Amino acid sequence: MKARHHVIVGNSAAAIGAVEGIRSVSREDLVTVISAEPHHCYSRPLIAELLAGELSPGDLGYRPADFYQAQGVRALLGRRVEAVDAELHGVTLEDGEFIPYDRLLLATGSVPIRPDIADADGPGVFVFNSIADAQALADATRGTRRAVVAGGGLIGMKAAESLHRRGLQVTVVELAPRLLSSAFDRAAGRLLAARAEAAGLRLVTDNAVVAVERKAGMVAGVRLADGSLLPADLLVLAVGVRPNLALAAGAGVHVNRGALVDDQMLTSAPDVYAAGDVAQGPELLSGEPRVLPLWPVACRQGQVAGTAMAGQPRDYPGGLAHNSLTLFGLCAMSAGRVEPEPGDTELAHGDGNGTYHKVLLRGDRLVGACAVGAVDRFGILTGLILDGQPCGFLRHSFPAFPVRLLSLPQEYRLARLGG
Amino acid sequence: MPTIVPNEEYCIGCRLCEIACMVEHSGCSDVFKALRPGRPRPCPGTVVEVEGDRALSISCRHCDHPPCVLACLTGAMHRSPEGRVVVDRKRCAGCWTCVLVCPFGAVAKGPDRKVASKCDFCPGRDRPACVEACPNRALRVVEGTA
Repeated sequence: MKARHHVIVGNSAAAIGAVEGIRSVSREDLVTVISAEPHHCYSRPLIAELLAGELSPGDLGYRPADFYQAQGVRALLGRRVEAVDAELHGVTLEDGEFIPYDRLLLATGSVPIRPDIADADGPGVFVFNSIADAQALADATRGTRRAVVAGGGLIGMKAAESLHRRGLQVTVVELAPRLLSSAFDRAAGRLLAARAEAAGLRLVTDNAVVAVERKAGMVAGVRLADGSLLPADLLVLAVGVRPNLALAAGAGVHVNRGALVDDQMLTSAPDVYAAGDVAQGPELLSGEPRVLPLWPVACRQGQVAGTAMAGQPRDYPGGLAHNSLTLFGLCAMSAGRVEPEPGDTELAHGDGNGTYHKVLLRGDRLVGACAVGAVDRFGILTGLILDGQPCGFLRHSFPAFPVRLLSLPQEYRLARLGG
Repeated sequence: MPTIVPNEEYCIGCRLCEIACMVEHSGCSDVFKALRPGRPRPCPGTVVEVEGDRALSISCRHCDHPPCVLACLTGAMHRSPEGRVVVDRKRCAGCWTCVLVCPFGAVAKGPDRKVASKCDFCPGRDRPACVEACPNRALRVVEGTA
């Protein structure tokens, strides 16, 4: 078969997963990676360590330095794609160069949401999504004392922890009544919040930053929705991300919250795929198309897209939300549903001493799990959610943790362990 | 890639596999010196489950499609040229996403709780230390099962 040319826009988890997916099928196909960011592919979650001053940009490599060469990839880094012509099958770069493709992958990720805050444009206000963002923020912390982080989700809390480790007084302002609500339930969120507060973070819930107060152009404080004023030298916006759909719309791709894709990551436009934070693909438990802006999901979707683009589609049952968070030394994990839906059985147990476990069952099927404090072997639960195995035994064995493979049906165990 | 396959009919839960693994990875061949109090103790790459009269020793399957490699946030978890699934300790950030996704519970937080620890299939040995140490032949090496 004639070699195909695959063009990948983006250079993060989904893009790298796609390169590896394509190469698992074909060594001959041509692969071009185009990214506006000038860096070698890097681990985006590690920007928290960069901000904390514990790693430098060179430590963030997601793959070895010779990755593109070893994979036979032409990497156009620091080059922005301006437009996609899905009919002509080509992309136009901002310098006018036209690059034709046989298959295109949009792995353009997400962009931070900028909430409506008065006087937010100007120095002292930052987002936290890239090496450049983290470096700008780290530079700005020199000579400053007080930071406010708008948003108490995963990104906001990691940014707050890093700023705290740099020696700043940090206040997190969250609109919802509790922190980390997308990844953790109330009890788990409370334990993590308590740990953060004990470490010295100030946490404000049921409130929002509505205005930046400036003196001589510099940030002097932030005004909250309840009218109070928090003195601050800098503000970090971490209220969430949204799919970066700038190219998808122009390419004629059907878009809902993200670029809609099927179970092979194919969009509505011929030969145009999308994967990672930009994509809205099948979610495992609901079967509904969802945006799941999570690193492991992005890498897996990229791999699924890559093998399909190279002509050997593999089954993909859909993405599953799963998170591992360590905040001020306290480990927490969750997989699947965070809160029960009508008809689910919730089994939860806290020892009152910082350890908490929960499972959600629908009939005999495990649909959600959460652990704080003791997380060893948590993946057994994640695997049970993914495999849809009967888990009725959990009704008797819970809250014993970790779940043992010996507790699982023997047939399933033997099939998984081999022999 | 070969896999270490446990046989729960034969496993008696003696945990000699864990001890052999710790000694092998301690950099010291003498069991008493290797596990001496005060010396940093390696985390065993195999975990023994005991439930009633049944027991099972579980280590990394070195899967064909390893969820831990796919999910690793930093690229530290990777496949070696020989096909082993291994951790690059220098690149591991201790985010424990591997612990979150391994369906066998075969990745652990290392002894320093900073980087992931797992079976490395004993590079440099003909047969992994746990397999050789098992007194009841409950562990054996099987080619390409995972």
